[in-house]
Parts: sequence; structure tokens; C-alpha cells
Amino acid sequence: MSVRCCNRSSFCTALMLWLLSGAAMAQVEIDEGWLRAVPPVSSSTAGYMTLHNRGEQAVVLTGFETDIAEAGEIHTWVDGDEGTRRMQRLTEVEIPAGGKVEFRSGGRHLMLFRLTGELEPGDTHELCFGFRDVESPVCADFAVRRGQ
Amino acid sequence: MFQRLAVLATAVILVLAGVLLYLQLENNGREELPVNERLGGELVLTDHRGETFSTAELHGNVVLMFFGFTNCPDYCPATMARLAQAYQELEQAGEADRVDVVFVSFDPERDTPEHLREYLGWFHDDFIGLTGPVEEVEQAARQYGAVFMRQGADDAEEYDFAHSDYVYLIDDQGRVRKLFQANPEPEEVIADVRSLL
Ligand SMILES: [Cu+2]
Repeated sequence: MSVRCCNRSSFCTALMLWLLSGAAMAQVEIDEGWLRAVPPVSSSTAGYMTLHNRGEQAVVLTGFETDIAEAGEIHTWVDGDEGTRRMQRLTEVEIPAGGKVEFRSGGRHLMLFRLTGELEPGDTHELCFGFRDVESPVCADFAVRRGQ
Repeated sequence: MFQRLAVLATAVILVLAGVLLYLQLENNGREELPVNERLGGELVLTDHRGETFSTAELHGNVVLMFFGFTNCPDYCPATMARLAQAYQELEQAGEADRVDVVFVSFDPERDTPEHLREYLGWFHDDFIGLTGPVEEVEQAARQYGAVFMRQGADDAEEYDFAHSDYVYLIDDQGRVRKLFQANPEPEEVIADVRSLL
């Protein structure tokens, strides 16, 4: 009955999406989110976290936004020529059902370009993450740390 | 009675032998770091004060040298933070006078001396920044086997470098003694620096 209802009604479609996004929000958990404190002359920094997917379906991270930077990108490190390493942009990161993905220095990381203010150790800033097929973003506070 | 004394004496001797063996291992357990004949040499570049600087001025001190660029948001600040931590611990032990940390930037376009001064000063006031015309920085990197390649946009926001990421441990005679992988543990750095002091 409800299926028939939803096939017809755009209200029901919206409701389904809302329910789905609610489910995604509940199933994704951001742990140990932090931003690297950098000298004030630096215009960019990196962020780190562990992303848990407590749900029974895979979710796909597609990007993030924050007020503290004009642009955010997801990056990873790849091997380049002659023993070098370089950063490469990722447009999506899949977190398997019941799994987690770590963002760490030297591996996958969040890049914050063109910082809009100074990152003082002890401050926190909100980062909001977008997921494929999920309408509302998942937000979490990231603490600024003088990290290694 | 005599038997008990013998047992006691044996025990004392065993403990003493153990202590001696332990001290011996403590002293000699760390093998002397080999001299790298292939890499290194004097660098003459512009420092963070805008003055000509020769690394020969650092002879007599143990040097930790890192090639990077200040716009590098993940590795470089992580490595500099670790070097800063190691340096501070050496400072607290009164050993930092004989140690220098040198950051060589291969991005002179953005890393002006002033920019280097502000960047490095945030990690530690004593840190030395060096850079220069691209050809000179390239030559410096070649001497140390460091590699950097400017990357195009690569779909990212700003230009970037593919780069090697060693930290070079240089002894008081200017000889390379060890290459640390990126993000070395401060404890490892401190122990190796001390072995050269
Ligand atoms: Cu990056």
C-alpha cells in the first residue's frame, strides 16, 4: 500500500528521501576529527578523521564544506616518479557497510584551501560532509591541534 | 652457613654481571651511523632574513635538514612539528645549542625570505629557512638526492609539488649520516642526533 502511495505522490517521494537521508545521517559517524594548526602565513591546511559507517549499506562521501576555508577537497597521496609522492584529488570515497575509512597524515586527508581565518589551537570548526544520494550533510566539529 | 654465603655471593656476582652487561649494551647497542659519501655538501642560498647563507657556517653542529615548501599542507607541517618537538626536547636538555634545523624551500616563487621567516618562526625561532633561484634550489636538491616536480593543476586548487620527503641528519663536519623517512618519530631523531653530539 505504501509503495503504491509513493509511486504516485511527490510528497511521498520527498518523505522517502527525507527518511533515507535521516538514515544515512544516523549511520555515518565522524570520530576524532581534527584540523592541523598551521602558521598564520599558510593559506591551506589539512584535516583528519575516522569515518564510520554503522549502517547496512555502503555510503559514498563526495565532498565537504566549512566556513573556515573557501574550498575543501578530499585528497590522497600517490607515488610519483623518481621516488616522489604527490597529492591527488578524490571525488568520492566509499565507506563499506559496517566499515570505516581513516583520514591520516600521509594518506587520505581533507584539504582546506584559502583559509578564511586563523586556526588557533583549541578552537573548533564545523565541517559538513556530503554523501551521494543523501540530501542533508553530516556535520561534525573539528578541533584545531598542533599535530604531527 | 658457608653454603648460604656461597649462594649469596653467587647471586651478587650474577646481578653485578647483569648490570654490567646492560650498561655495555646501553652504550654500544646503538651502532655508529655510517657516513653517506654519495649525498651532501655545502649549500649557499638565501636565508629567511634575506641574507646569503652557507651551510658551512653550521659546521660544528649537528643539522636536521628538510626540503619542502610552505604551501604543503599535510606532510611538511607534520614533519616540521616533529622536528620542533625533537628540538624542544634537546633544548630542555641543554643540547640545542649544538643542533640546527634547516628547511630548504624549493618554491621560491611563494616562499620569500619573509614568508619563510614567519612560517618557520611559528615552529621555532631558531629554525633556519633557505631558498634561492629555482636553478640553485634544484642544484641543492640534486646534491642531496631530493626530488621535486612542480605539478599542474591536477584538478586541484593550486599548484603543488610531487616531492621526496626525507629528513637529512648531518654531522658536525657536514657529512650526511642518516635519511629519515617523512614524519620521523621525535624519539628516533633525538637518539640519532645525540649519537653525533
Ligand atoms: Cu592534500
